[in-house]
Amino acid sequence: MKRLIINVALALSALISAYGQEIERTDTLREARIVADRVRRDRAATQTGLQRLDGSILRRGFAIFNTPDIIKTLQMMPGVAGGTELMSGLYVHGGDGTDNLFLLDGVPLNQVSHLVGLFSSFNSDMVEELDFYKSGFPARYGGRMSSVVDVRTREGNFQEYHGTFALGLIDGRIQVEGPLIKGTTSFNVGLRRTWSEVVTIPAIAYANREAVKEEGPEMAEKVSASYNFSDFNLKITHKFSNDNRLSLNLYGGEDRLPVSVKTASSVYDGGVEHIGYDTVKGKLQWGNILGSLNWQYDITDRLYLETTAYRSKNRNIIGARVSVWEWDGKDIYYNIGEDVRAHTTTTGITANAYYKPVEAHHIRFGAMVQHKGYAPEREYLTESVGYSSNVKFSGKNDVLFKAWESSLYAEDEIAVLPWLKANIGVRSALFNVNGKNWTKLEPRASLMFRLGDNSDLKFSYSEMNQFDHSVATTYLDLPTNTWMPSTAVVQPMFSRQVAGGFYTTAAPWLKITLEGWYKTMEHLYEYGGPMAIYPPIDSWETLFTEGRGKSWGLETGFEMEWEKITTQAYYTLSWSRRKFDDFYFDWYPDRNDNRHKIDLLANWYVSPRFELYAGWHYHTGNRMTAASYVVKGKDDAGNIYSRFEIYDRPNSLKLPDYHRLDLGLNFKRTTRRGNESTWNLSIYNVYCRMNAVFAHITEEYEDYTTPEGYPSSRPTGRSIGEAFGLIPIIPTFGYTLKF
Amino acid sequence: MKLRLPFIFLILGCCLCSCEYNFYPEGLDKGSKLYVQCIAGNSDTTYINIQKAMGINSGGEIMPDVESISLKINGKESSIKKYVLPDPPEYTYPDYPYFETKDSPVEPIYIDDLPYYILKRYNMWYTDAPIKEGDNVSLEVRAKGMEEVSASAKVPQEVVVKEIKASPRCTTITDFDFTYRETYMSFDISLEGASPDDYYGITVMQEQDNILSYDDGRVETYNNKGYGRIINWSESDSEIMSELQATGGAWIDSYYNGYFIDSYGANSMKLVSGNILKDGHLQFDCSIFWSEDHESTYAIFDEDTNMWVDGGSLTVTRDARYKLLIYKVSPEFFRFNKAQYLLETNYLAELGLSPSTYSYTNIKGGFGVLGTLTCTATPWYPAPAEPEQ
Repeated sequence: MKRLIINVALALSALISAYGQEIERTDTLREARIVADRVRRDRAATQTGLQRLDGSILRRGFAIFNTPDIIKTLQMMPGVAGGTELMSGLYVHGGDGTDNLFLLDGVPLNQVSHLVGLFSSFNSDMVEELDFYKSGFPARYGGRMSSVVDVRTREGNFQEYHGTFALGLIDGRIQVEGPLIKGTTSFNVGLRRTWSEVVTIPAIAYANREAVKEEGPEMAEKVSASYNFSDFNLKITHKFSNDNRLSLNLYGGEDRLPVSVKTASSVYDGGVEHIGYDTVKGKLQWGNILGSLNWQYDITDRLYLETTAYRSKNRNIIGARVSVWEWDGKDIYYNIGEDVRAHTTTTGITANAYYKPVEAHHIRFGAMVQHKGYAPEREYLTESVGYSSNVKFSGKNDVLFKAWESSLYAEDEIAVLPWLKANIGVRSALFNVNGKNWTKLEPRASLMFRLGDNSDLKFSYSEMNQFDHSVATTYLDLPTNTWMPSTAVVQPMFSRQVAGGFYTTAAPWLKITLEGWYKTMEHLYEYGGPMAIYPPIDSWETLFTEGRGKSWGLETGFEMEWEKITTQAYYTLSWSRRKFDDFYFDWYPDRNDNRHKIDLLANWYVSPRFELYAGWHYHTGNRMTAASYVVKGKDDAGNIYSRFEIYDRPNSLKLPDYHRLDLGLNFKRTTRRGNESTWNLSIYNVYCRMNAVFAHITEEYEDYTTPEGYPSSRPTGRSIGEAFGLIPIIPTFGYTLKF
Repeated sequence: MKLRLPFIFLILGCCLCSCEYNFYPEGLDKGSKLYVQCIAGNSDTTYINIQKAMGINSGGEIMPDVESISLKINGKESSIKKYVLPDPPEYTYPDYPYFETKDSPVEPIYIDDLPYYILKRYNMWYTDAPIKEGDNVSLEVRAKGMEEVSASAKVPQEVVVKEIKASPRCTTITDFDFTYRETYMSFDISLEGASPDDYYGITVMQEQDNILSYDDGRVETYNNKGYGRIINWSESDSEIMSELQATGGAWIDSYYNGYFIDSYGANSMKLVSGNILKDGHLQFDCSIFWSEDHESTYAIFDEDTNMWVDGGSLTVTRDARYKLLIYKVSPEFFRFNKAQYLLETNYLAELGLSPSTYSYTNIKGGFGVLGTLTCTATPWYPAPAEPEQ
């Protein structure tokens, strides 16, 4: 704690010292306009729990590895828990992280992260804006239970060519936009890819070469491994007229990890050396591919229509092959292999209409039809080749679910009175899978009371259903995870949430929000089977156990924006509970039951050339299950004959509190060609707090000296926790060029 | 320039920070609670095991000072007696004579007059009050200085077996570095009124008489007994976990808790959830003893030459049989044992990276379980000869 205080003090002193410098007062109009627009938009919304972020805000925030990240930005919002450090978890109002609706230009996306969750799949250079709903969901959204992240990508510039090139510590990205037909058709394309292979491939090649020098070309071990991820966005927009436009959106994102090891061994037989090779080959590949066609048409001044047809595919592939060589007068091999593949496809069409018959009514209505396919499969092969009795043992397990999901919705934003606005809506959803129909009606309502020019009171009620279930045996975002539909056995997940809040712009530079929520969740599913990495394909309906959840809390935010300095302070006080009868007879804390969460963020535009960022993040420790009682058996002679531990309730152990400080600076300059270039230095976890990712309880030992004078150790009779922190201080730098 | 100095201090401060630490978890120095296990079934004896669960950082006496035990069956109090360990039995287990000594950690239980061994039952009470299907059982235990505990449960209905089909099978297993043949009996038990909401248990008891008939007229007989190993594996779903396997390791033996469940000695019970039954059929595979009849030779030791020499021929006759114990168990019993099994096997959960680490209990104010079950035993069936590949 002492160290923490010292470091926070140092960080503050750095900021205060820097604040004393003369500020160059230029180029603040654009930022001020963005701020004012955002404040106006946020206040205009009837819904509670809505956070609107435009791309410029996302891109100016802290960027570990020089890659601004949407999900990590959202993790800082009040009411959101981030789960495991550095991962792309988004646990909104007690949700389980797989219940967020991610929409990319209106198309649902299942896989939203790269590198086991380290990076989100959204290229921030392509993002125009996003709406993040934690409560008060409008009727136009459905299909997920806890939140909506509606990401809109930018249209390309219709007049000029522009772009961005950025190089970070791990990845590089390029984005180019411009007219295809000036004034009529534009494109915006973004590509992001890791470049770590530039280092790893030569390093491995060097190691292989050294092995050849030592062992010779025939006997040297040969290793090959590389990891990379890439994603690609393309948006082509054609304006038939100002009221009529068509967009083509493509997105593809993939992670790949091929590994192979070839090891030689030799056998002397009859005085002759026989050399053979054992090989291990592995492949991990996972990602999304998405394509959509969007047509926006202002039919009249009062009627607007948007139609989107799309196909989205999420695929995970894991493959492994092992071949073991032996010599028995001839080459004989023993081969085993396994492939696990999971494909989830969604093909659909949505039509959304916006109709304003009179000023007091803003009506939205629409329909959606989706065809979904869930196809996980596992294939394995075991064979011996060349043995006296060759054996081949292979098999395949696969499951195929085909489902139709359709919905209708209508919502009306009504100006009831000058000081009262309401958004009333209803959504009807039908899910059909293998002959089983689930029909759900979801009422949605939001009320906003104007309290003068600067303050509002808002209340909302919403019900949401989710027909897709993430089938995972661990809490990690692994490519082994897959999606499955609600079936006759597995019910759709359901949430009901009430929320209310007070929102005020106390001064032009100060926005204050205070929100509270209460949310219940039904038909949650959690893995209840034995330890496994691969989710059980054909028995998941029975191995996942059903339960309930509830969450409630208060969240407050202070957003201050001055000419040069922007600060945000968010605080959340929340409770998150679970009740799974198969686990425990009563309610118990959720593993992300973080009682307190504080995020303090500051951006300081010292000059047009120099920006500083500081962010301090704190939350009460995550929870995990640990033994808290022990039962010892004693026989008649007083000997202890048995000992076993009792885990009295799930998530009984609170890990140490989480906190870290991030700092960043941008140094900008204008190139000779007039382009803006930025050098970024970011330091993640500045004071190197090894926040616990997991922990275990163990006996505490103390050192002592034996009567013979030897140092030794003995148990103290107490138990201690050993916390394993994985993420130390991470300094990174990067370069961005805008042209 | 003035900006640089604080940053230098800041970076220096970071470098001086430590990156490792232990912590004292909150709430581990809890008081003690009673740990009670009682499995009430349709047998003539019901045992109650009472122990003390201490906070993991607490010390003190490890056995509870039990003041009163109340076991009510349909609201009627039953008489409770302290279980006294029996004297060591006569020499009955030639392979493991240690089991017959007073120092042995195990004691015998008798099934059809044959001894099976379980861990000795210390701190055990019992009642002879008969319990049958549909009975309501409630339990209250008080111990000095500890919170009173209570629980109640209903005894499930007995299973009604419509038909049992058993067919010997054989397949070849290829493991990582060797290939072997596995023979097993494939069972298909048809149950009347089976429900996906119920829970079932299976134990396969087996016995084998080995009769060696020598050509000189001598006859030697050895007896093997044990439990069939339920493997539930077939060509179609090899290596895929099923519910049966998921709970298959939850052997209800005395290893964990010094307790055995009933006088049927079902310490190799495997539990299943009713939702894996297919149209009321419980299907599983089990390795069993096989019957066999073959000619062989034997050797005798010639003391003159100090060598083994041919002794003659003999006939080996192996008469094997098996018997099924089919249980319907209460949900509490199932959950308790499944949780216990998962606790022992899920290392990822131990690290907080996966769900499912918990100790289930339905004992209010304490830990353990008041579980109920009914058992239906089949007759002994003769085992066939081992199938050929």
